[in-house]
Amino acid sequence: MIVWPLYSSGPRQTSLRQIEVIDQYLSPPPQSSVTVDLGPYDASLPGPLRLRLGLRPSAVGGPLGWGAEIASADFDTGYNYIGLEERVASSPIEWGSATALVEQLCGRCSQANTLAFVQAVEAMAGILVPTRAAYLRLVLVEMERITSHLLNTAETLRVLRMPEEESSLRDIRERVFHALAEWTGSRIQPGLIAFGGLSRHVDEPTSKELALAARPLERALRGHVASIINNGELAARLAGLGVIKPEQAMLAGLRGPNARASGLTHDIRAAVPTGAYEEEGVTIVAQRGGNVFARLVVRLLESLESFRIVEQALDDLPGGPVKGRVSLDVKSGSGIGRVEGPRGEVFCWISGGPEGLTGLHLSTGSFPSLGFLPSLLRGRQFDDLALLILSLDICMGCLER
Amino acid sequence: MDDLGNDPPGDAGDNKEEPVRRISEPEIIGQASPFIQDDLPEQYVPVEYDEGQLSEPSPEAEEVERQLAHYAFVREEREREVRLLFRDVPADDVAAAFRAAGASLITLAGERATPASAPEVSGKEQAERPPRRRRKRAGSQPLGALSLRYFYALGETVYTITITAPSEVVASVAPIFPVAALSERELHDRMAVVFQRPETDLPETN
Repeated sequence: MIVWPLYSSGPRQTSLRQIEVIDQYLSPPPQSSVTVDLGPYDASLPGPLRLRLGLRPSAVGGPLGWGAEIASADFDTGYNYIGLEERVASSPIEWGSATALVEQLCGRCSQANTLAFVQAVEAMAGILVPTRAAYLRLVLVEMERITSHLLNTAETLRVLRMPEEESSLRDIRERVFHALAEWTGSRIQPGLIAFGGLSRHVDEPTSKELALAARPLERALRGHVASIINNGELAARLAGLGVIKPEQAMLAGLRGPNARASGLTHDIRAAVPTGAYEEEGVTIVAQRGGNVFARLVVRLLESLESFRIVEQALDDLPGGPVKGRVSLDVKSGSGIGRVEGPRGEVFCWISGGPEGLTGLHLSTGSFPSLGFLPSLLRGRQFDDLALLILSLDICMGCLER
Repeated sequence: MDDLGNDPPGDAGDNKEEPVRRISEPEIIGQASPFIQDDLPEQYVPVEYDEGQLSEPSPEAEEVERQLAHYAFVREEREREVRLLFRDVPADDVAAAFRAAGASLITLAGERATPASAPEVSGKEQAERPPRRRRKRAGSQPLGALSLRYFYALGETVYTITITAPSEVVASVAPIFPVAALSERELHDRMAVVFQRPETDLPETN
């Protein structure tokens, strides 16, 4: 909210620009609707995206008691379109380079996307994965979930102007990245997940170092999560905002934290466990509120749960090789892979054969979330736009695959 | 072993005799993390897991396939996946059958087969052709047959429904599964697929 010095005294003078703004606020609210085009590049948007909003005067909000309500919303995508699926359909891609291409689609969900792709190929070719590799894959995906959820929560706190809590979460996130880089050699997209296991050996001392690094981070995060969740002012600001009922979430096909915040307790890790998830128990975090605060709480608690899973998996880490016998010289076929990514289920369908990858379809949780965005925005205050968009945690990299 | 000569994953090697051990059965949410129970406001108590979500989908799956039996289809079964191949059937009828069984639509994808009239040429052969002639051929090349692939989740099983649509006009499933709206829009923009449907929208939120 901008507060201008209406009746300033002393040396401070009101500028011409300020007078114009004051006149604007003192004039009666506009009666007709206006259309606002946001994007494709705007700070309130999750990525390259064009958002067209129809605004109408509202009696709520604004410095003088009136504001703008979103009457209609529509979006356009395609500003950062990669076209990997079309590229694969037009000519086969070698298996060796396909994994890297899928991993590089997105920075925030790269491990979940890669794991879904690799699992689809392994299902097609009947490739078995050593247990140790399955555990280490789980660790990679869960650590990615932590960094993704912490980024979204920190961004939400930035919009809410809570810089101390925001910087604390960003600090923990950076330390997770640091631990990940010490472990894999890269902060993001380490290129570790490969057909039949992992591409490189991860030795025992390095894994132990990661386990040691994870414990203090979890303790630090636990304290911040408790203070954020028990912040009554924050809860009051967010609790009634952007409510998605369970039936709406189900109908819209929302996945992951967005669905679980509306009471839908679906999680691929528990419902269709694969790899090390068959051995490691997963606690599903869900809320009944369905609002922005519930989505924030789910992401924070899931970060803690992911820390617990990482520690447990590293404690239970079996020995043995990290790569099985891989033969992609198979007859043409297809396969599917399902992984619970940071934004919900990552579904991958592939087809291919000895010539390489001939068909690819990747669907992530951001797809239904973006589809639901216009419905979520309609009837809300324009001032809440950034919070509402952030609460869905849409990843444009996955959408523009 | 399936018809491709591959062993399904999980059934080969040294795991052959051992049943899959599942210790990740649904827990009461929040039990594993006492912090969740203690520190959450009262209205944010964890939701109990619906065990029905993990149950075997056999009766529903049988019901779906019974309902779809009046269409001719090819069936193929893999681990946690059933593939049904249809030719030119109303996609909304299939979607309605799955909706009635309690399935959810994961996603849908489109694919164009390589036209039979355009034989594949190697890179060397292509380079030898005069560029002008190649451009002309490419411009007049007919589009391949369109097929759409719908992925439905019914319990643990994914149903991959492939519908070939020579007419290029497909009944929209968005009125039944609104999640399909964005995918259909994308397929319309990128593959010129025409989806027939009445104007619908996702339900308004409060």
